[in-house]
Amino acid sequence: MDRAMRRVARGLSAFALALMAAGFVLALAHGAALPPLSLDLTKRSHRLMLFGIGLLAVLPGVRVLVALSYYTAARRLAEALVALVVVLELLASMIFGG
Amino acid sequence: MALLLGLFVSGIAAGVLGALLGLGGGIFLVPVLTLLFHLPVRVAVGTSLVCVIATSAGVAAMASAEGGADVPLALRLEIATAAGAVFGGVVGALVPARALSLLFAVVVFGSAAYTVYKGLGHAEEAMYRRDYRPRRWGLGYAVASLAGLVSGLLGVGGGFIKVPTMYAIMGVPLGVATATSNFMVGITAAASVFVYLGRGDVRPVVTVVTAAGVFLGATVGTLMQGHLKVSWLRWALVVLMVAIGVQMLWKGF
Repeated sequence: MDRAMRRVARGLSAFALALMAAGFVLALAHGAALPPLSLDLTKRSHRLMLFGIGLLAVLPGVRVLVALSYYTAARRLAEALVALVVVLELLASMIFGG
Repeated sequence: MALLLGLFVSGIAAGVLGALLGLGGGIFLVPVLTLLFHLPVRVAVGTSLVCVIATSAGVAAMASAEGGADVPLALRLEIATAAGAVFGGVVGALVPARALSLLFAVVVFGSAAYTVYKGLGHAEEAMYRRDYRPRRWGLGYAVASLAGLVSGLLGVGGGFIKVPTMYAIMGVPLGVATATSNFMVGITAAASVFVYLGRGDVRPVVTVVTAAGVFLGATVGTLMQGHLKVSWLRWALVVLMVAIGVQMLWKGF
């Protein structure tokens, strides 16, 4: 399970960081000043950065899903149930917060 | 550009400290973003929550097998913490900024005091021994809920509460408590970050630059972990918490 979590963390965070970097470079390439507090969803650069941020934000939930699938496969049902409750809490936060 | 460079460097420092001490780095970042870079407090909180997740991800990407988290313990405590974090994120918009600063200071001083108390008169111990059984679950759950609430309100991962709780209250070795907290803070932050994303409190440029620094710092901090003594980490944690608490108290008044 530790190895699977490490792979998921590396893969997903690398992809998220790449999207964030692409968005940042796009913003720089347009040559305009980079107001640090701006939030403009009409700009592709901002959308790319926010998508990368969103992907990073779901990484913890994905790691819990890895734990859930491992515990389910190993028939460690009490631990699987705990992991499922945490996944549901995270899903609820995405639905009601986002 | 100087602002963005400063944010990147601050992110690196937060990532290193967070990885070494089992924190998300938010306890360092939120005061720096508000006091040094003058960001609005809710933007600082939203940015910090993303960076806490980045710290957790950076540590996870570099973690070794023997320095790993106690995942069953983490998930059990996260049931309480995640619920507290969602609630904290929702009510965070209703609490005045000064009150948040004062609350932050109180929580930090309490955690520091308990960590000092726990460390007095104790001989050096094994950081990652596995022959332990967590105890005092009731108190552990109660404090974990508080850690979640504080996380959602203040933009921290709650590691500065979780590490002393697991180590000093529940009897978990400090190295295991640190690694477990690194795993937990990402989940806790994720439970409230979507509230801040939905409110527009996560600004892409500031967040991307700071999170990139945090991720780099966290990977470096993880590599340094196995070479440090328990007492060094304990006192580093206490000094950091007192310094941050004083600054937030000043801001609150």
